[in-house]
Amino acid sequence: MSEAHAAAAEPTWQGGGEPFALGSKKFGMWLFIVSDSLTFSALLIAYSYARVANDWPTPFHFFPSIAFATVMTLVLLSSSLTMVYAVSAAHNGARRAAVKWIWATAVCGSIFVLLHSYEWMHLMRDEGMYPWKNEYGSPLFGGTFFLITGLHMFHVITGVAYLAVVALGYRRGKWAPLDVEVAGLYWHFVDLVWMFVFPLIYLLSTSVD
Amino acid sequence: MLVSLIGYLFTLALGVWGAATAAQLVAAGALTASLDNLFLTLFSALMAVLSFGYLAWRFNPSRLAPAGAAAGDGVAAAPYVLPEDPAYEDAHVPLFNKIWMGLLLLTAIEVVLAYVQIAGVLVMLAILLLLSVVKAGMIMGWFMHLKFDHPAFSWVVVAPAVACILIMCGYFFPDSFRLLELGF
Repeated sequence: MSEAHAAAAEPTWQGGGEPFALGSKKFGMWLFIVSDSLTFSALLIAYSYARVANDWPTPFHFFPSIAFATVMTLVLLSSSLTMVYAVSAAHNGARRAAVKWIWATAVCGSIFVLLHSYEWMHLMRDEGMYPWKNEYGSPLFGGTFFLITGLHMFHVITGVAYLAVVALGYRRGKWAPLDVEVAGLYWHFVDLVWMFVFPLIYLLSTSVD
Repeated sequence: MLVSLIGYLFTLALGVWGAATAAQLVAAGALTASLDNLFLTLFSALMAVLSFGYLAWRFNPSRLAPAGAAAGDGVAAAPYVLPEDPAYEDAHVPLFNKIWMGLLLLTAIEVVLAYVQIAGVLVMLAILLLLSVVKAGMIMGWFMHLKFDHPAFSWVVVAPAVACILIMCGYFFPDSFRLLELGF
């Protein structure tokens, strides 16, 4: 950390500048997060548009859809907490603890993917819901559902791979605590996106009997 | 210096534009005319409030007084120093636990609201979105550490993203209401 601040004192055009005293890696990840958040918000706004402008079906029963999605939310939120622990341990120099917490985060992410895959299988096999057709009504329902949750699940799978690579590299001493923190930023962003996907996609399609 | 000046002028122009548009729409009786116009009026007013609010915060004399070297000089501020103490991260762990519990509580409230359904689709959408924005703010502020980073960075990162999302909402949503009324 201290050499980073010494570097910040050098003139920018000599390559010593640290944008916002933040480090180029963190800054780069934040720029990616901003652009990715615009991708997701465009999709979610398009979904909300279709949701409001159509006669939208509300087919999701408490079990399994809503119950699974709630547990998935819980798992993802907890994985964010373990990631915070990992970053904290890495900054305090507790390498083994940090690696353990990163793996815990990756395991939570994998549980999320497994539950989500089961949910998808259930919808396709038992409910006959596909991206191009469904038995509830507007075909947009399946299209938007699979597109948005699919893109999010792709981010989670990428994140689990990213965390595994960082855990291995950090354990070998290849990478610094800053790299753990940058991976954490990405992981929290994946969690953040789900905070919008869950209420918009699942809770607004709940079947209330 | 020049870049900051351009930024302030742009913010001021945005505020004036928002206020003028909102005033014109209100004068034309747009608030009660249709949902579209209500949306556009609120959107313009929000842009004005955000722009003027930022400028008022940026040039607030009581905020500038301790940091600024010369009285009235808003640009000269002490260089920002990130906290470097290793215990700094540790000190926040109980706080992170509380944030996590808060997020779980908000999720539970959302699930309950999905079943209680106190209002129609539009209002429910607004309520759930509002709760989600609160949750996103908690994640960004504490988990993603934005609250403890350089203050200017939050403005650089969050402000354009929020502006883009507001513009997307402001221009596309009224259209979906129109589509609903046409009955396609």
